[in-house]
Amino acid sequence: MSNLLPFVVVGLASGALYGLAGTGLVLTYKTSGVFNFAHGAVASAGAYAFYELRTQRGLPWPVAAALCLVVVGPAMGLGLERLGRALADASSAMRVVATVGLMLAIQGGLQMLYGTTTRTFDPFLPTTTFRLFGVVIGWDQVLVVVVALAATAGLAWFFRKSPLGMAMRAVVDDRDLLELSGTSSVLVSQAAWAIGSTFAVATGVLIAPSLGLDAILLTLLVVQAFGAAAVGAFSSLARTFAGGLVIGVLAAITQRYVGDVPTLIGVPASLPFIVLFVALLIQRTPHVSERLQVARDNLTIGVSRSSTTLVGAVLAGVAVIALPSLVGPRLPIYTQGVVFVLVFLSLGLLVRTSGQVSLCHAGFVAVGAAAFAHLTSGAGLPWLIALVAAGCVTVPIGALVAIPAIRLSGVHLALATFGFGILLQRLAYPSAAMFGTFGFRSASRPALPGLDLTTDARFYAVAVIVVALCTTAIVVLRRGRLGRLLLAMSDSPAGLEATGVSVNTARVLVFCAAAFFAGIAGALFSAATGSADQNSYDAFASLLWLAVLAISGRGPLRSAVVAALLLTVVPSYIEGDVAQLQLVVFGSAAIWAAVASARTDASQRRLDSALSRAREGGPRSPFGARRNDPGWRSPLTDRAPERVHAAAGR
Amino acid sequence: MSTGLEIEGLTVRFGGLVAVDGLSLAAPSGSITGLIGPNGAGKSTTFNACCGVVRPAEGRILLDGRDLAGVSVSGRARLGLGRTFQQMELFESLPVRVNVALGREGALAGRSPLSHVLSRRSERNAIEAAADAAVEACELSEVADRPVQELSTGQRRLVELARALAGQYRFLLLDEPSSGLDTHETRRFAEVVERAVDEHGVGVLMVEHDMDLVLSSCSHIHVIDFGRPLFQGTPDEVRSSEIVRAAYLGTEVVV
Repeated sequence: MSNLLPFVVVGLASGALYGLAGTGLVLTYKTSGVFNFAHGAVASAGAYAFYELRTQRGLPWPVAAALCLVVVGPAMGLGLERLGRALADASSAMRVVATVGLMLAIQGGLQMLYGTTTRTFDPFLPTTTFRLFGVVIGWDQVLVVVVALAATAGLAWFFRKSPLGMAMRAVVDDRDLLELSGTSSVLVSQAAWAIGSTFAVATGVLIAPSLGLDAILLTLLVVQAFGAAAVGAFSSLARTFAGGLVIGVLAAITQRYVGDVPTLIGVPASLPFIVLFVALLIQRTPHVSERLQVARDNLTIGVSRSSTTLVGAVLAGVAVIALPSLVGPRLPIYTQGVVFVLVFLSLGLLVRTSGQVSLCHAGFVAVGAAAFAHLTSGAGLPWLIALVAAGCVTVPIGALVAIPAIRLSGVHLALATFGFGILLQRLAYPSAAMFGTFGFRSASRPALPGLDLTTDARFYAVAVIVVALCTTAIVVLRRGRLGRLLLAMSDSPAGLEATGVSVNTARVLVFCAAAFFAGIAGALFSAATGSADQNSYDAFASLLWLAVLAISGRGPLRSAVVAALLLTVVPSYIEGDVAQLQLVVFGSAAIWAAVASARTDASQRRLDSALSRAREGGPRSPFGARRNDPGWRSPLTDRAPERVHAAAGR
Repeated sequence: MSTGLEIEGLTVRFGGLVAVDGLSLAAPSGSITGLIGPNGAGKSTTFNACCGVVRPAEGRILLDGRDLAGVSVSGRARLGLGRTFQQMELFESLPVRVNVALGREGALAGRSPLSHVLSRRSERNAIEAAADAAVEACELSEVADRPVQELSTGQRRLVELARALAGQYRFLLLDEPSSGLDTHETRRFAEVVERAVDEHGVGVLMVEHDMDLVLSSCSHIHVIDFGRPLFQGTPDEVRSSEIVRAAYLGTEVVV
């Protein structure tokens, strides 16, 4: 036991920081309803600001820290509040898209400014140590815990007792009512966002010395606060902080045992995501029927396919056939583009058709790629059979992810799938069953007797044919019964259930189908690049893909093609290293797309509610009305419904 | 055997609150039964218990003699119990016709993955026929190809009713169907329901605030308050009942 104590101390220090970040996250989520996926990015921006002020500009650290906490944190908070307000009328899927976009943009921006290599971040707290019960404890660790605890306790007190804190809780309950009572709800939520961001900044500044300055690592570390927030059921500040401590300590203790069991190497770092996934699953978060649509395809079922789409299809066909002779050495890039059409189609099946936000699509693709490499190079199956089998192997993974989808919707499903994607990457990617310790496996292109299909031009043709077949299958699915059920489910799960459909079956099916096609895409991609490489399927790629899909317009097919071109082909025409620029551009565009969708939604809704208000009928009770009983209508509009109609503009 | 819907000794509790307290009522097939009561009387809770959204603490709910305990929401629909929603649950982005057709197709899709994906030709014909009939009955032919979100509240109510009719249920639960409708629309709605009852022998239990609608359409009315039965009888008896009058007017008299 005594040799565990040092790990507990380390765990408490890091856990306190998770708790600190988590409470900031919960505060903003509670008051605005917008779950900030960019919370970790805000923290890393804070750490970079501190680094800039202190190391680059030479300010003393207390001044730099004060500037970060008093200026940088609140300033970012105000910006976020503006974004949150713009998203107030957005669907929950679009809210996810917006904050995911922000996270990508901040990450990309920081990497563009400061480079992708980790910079050392000199410690600023005293690193001297003392002994307690035989355990060496750093003063910096003590300070971190004290600061985090004090900040959280202060916030909890503030939330309960102070007038502004009460106003924040009032914003949660009823924004309009608060406005009526004379308090500006904007001011209140600005305060909440300012506090939440400052907490994130503080976490970033405090966590950076032990980690170094790395935008991705910092973001990821603070993302662990999602697990803490899940323990707090996204509402309790105290439980969130406790959750952070538990996660920190558990991770540190497992670290102690990993040395003995090498297969558990990924467990300590994955623990927060295990907690996130499990907490989401076991908590009672009822399937509220939120409005849950990504800018949805104006799909018209069974209605004429217009001549423009026919022309478009012919043009696209000509382009696809002419491409090899036009693009020369870039052809492999276009092959990848073709494969990504399938990736985006399968993602669209989930996100657009069924309205379920999934953030682990890269995991599906990775499983397909790894399975394909095993089946061709390892088991020596014929190429085509291995391709289909790779898709089939991915199906159970899709079914596994569908389990949270049965219980969760909206942002909670997004979080659960995000956690699952990271778990898959940390725990499964390095295992022998997937990419193995080297992180990649070779994957071959098809070779028929007497027909070599391995050249770039011929493999391009193979990819086009496979993707075209899969696209046809997806279109048939969408136009068939399943497509109708999924579209109906995304509009109203309760309504669909009332017709006799067991919506859970539909939920599981769409995840299985999406996983199948994503698995095939993964197999094709690995064959295109010659190897299944785990770096191609980073869990964060799922976020980027969602952002790209969200900015690619409407229309299930066209958006997939546009998204694939944006992600793979367009960057190849830009000189230099574009990875960071891509993050910034796609991230910003995703934010913009989400805000734009909120605007159209809001104007539509205002019109609807104006119409329905004007249409309220008169009382038809023979008994008069109970006072203040909204069930009985006020006796104003009884006599002239026609006139009411006219007033409503219908 | 078609005896309609029977509620026997239904009790529903939310924590310490007893929302429905030993309520029994029978809503026979081939007629419209009304369930009325002041706000908070337990109407919606009774309704939700019938649909399977709320689990009763005690009592049974029988559809044509079959106990519905443990049957899921969608399972009840497959057994022949259809419903509408007070806050309409329509497939807003889909055209009216697809909405209505899903009323029939939903039950055929059921819970098997296979029937979610594949539809037999005979099924498709049945869906077509049911949707046509329901769209016709609700006079929605003119707007059949328009997305539901473009329609007025009155038309949307009819779409929801058409979806329920297309499902060819043996029994329909209607949750405040007239809310948001004007007098004409309510009348039209009632006519469609009455025709379905007359022609197909469907049973209907209607939770409703609109007394005109209840008194004119229902053949039998149950009045409840505080989760307990207060009065039951024909529209005429309800109209002249002092007990009902007192329950509605209470002490806060607004005339």
